[in-house]
Amino acid sequence: MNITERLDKLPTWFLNLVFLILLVIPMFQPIGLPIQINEMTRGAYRTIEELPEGSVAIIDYSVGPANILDLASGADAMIYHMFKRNFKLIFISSAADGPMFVEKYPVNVAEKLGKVYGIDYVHLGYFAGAEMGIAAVMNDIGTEYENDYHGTSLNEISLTQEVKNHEQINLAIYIGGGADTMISWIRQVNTPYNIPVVQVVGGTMIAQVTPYFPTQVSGILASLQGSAEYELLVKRPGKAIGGMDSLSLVYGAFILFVLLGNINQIKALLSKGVRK
Amino acid sequence: MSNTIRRMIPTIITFLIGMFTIFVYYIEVPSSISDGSSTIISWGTIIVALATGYGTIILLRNHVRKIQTRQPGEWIYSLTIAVTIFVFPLLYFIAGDTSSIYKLIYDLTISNIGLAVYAIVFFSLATSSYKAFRARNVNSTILLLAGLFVMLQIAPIGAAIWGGFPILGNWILNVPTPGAFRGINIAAAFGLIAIGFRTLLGYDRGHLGISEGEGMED
Amino acid sequence: MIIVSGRVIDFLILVACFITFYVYVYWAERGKTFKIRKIPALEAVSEVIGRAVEQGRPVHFTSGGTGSLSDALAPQLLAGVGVLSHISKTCAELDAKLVVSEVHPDLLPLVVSTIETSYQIYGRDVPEDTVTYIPRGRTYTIGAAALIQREKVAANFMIGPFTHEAVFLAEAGSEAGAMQIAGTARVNQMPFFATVCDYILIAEDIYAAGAYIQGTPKVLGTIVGEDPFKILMFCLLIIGVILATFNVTWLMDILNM
Repeated sequence: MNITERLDKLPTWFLNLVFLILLVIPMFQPIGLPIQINEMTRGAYRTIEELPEGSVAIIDYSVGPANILDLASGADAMIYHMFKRNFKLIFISSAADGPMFVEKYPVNVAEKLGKVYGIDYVHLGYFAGAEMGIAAVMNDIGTEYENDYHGTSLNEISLTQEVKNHEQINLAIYIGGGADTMISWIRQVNTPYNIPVVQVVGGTMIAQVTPYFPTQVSGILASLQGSAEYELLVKRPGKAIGGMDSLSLVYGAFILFVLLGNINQIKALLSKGVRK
Repeated sequence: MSNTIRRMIPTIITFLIGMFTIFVYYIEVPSSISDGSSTIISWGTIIVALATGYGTIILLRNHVRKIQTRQPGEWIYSLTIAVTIFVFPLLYFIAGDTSSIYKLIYDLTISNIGLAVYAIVFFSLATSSYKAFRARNVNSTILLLAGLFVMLQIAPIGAAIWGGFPILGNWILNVPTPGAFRGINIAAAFGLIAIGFRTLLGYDRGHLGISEGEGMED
Repeated sequence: MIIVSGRVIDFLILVACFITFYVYVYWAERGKTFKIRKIPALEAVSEVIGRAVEQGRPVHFTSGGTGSLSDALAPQLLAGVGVLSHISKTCAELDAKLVVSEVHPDLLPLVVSTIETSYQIYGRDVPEDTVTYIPRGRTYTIGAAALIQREKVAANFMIGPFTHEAVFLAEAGSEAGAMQIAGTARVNQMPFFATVCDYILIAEDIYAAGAYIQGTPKVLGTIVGEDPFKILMFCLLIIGVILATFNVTWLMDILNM
């Protein structure tokens, strides 16, 4: 087997080892490549900036163990931004795992900023019924929730006494990995009530949500890249920015391997012309 | 009960509930009727929850059988599963899902395993893409170039090499890709309506567990 | 009767679809035959299973790791069950070992019933452990992939709503040396199947699969009945693009009624 044939058929273990090493290097030696901010991330930032201070945002925080690292940094940056603008936040979750991560990540951000539970933010927990659940919450929060996540009646919480349904809500945010839930938020929130919707979603869902930007979805944070861009915008560097160096190295190596693996094909194309 | 009635009654129920749900979605009706539709739909959620319990029982039964027969190489994993099936619900009922012990065990097990599996999926995706990205013909060359440009748009290294990569990558993500997806979605929507039509009128009886071809004579 | 605002055109299109499908079914019952293009993935099912029988290796089927019969992904699950009935009949006929990994507990009885019905046609009993229930999530990703590789399947069918496990299962099947036929209507997973699998069913192909396999004129009529609307949508798209270029909005206003 000559060198080009070897490059065409690199073993899986070799590829994985190279990627693993390149993922780890920036943890010890950050590179700091400049990050370009794309229009969808700017759209999300602009939406929050242009809403009046003290607006109410409802956040479907539906991350799971698989996508928490992808999305949590961007979500944290966005929540930080909203708290800085004195937004009132209502956390709900269409995923069963979501509430536990709400307690771990957004609540942490709130506590560091000195926000008061029940006044500045509230965590209602999981709601069943997916799209029907979203419709029910927007129609009347009380139909889906009697108590918050900690068991306190909504009638005893200041924020939920003020915010009853879509009329008091100024922004809806979906943070998660459910492609269908992502679209449900557009259908059940933006279409009937014209409430701006922002999405923080994984990389595989970008192509599905992009057609809705900017008319029905005001902003999109796309996976780790979007999270890093948002951290830059709010000037709060975090794990996402740190991860972009690893991403650059791994993508660079991947592209190199693909190009090297295509040497035989390129040679054939040059000598015989493009075949159908 | 004859086969005809065994098939006819579920088909009639399917038709009535399907048409009621469609009617309520499109026509302005009093809230008592639309609440009825929401209730029927929520029955589905309840049935899924019950079915999850049924599935867990089947899972437990299969693994208990492996433990009883000491199936070589497998019974110890079956024992782990069987123990886990009881530990989490017990913890939930004793301490609640907001307790620190529940969260600790969740973080140590499910959270970490989920992250590990997601990471393995990345490596799997990378190696399968490496094998798939070959310029064998025009279509696969286009796939290769589109993939490369989008990757160079995402990673900062692309902009560092040439400023045109993010522009090209963004164009691919914002113009041909959504266009193609919209076309697929529109066609799929009519396919969905057709399958709904067939299900409502009983031409398709897969939802009743009736094999294709069987019962089509009526 | 008043139609809910914002859904008028949807309703009219739905009614028009139902009427058109019924008309095509009526024509089919009166003897009109319809020709539809071949779907290579479905034509290849027998070939793929036959290859598995020759190699003495099993056939694997799975219907995806997400969705349930009570949500918007139910049609994809039912479409998968429709294809499964054909696969199980072919396996029973050719005496191929079938292994099914099932994630949806509400679909489990349908899957078992479908396989039993198919096997009964050929007078065979369904072997124990044909259907393995694997809870959804990462368990399914790893469990189904492990099943594919442990059993060294020669044919891997993946039809239904998939999430990130799509690429992992396809890669597992590829490493096991299986011929793979996959289909999903979830557009973000289609590219992974397209790059790894031998045959793919794209979006509406899986909804048409059950009807295509049955092949009865009545049911084929509903597939053919979709064509007038696709042509209508195509025309609307062209007209819409031209009007939008000149900032004319009446078409959008009508469609938003």
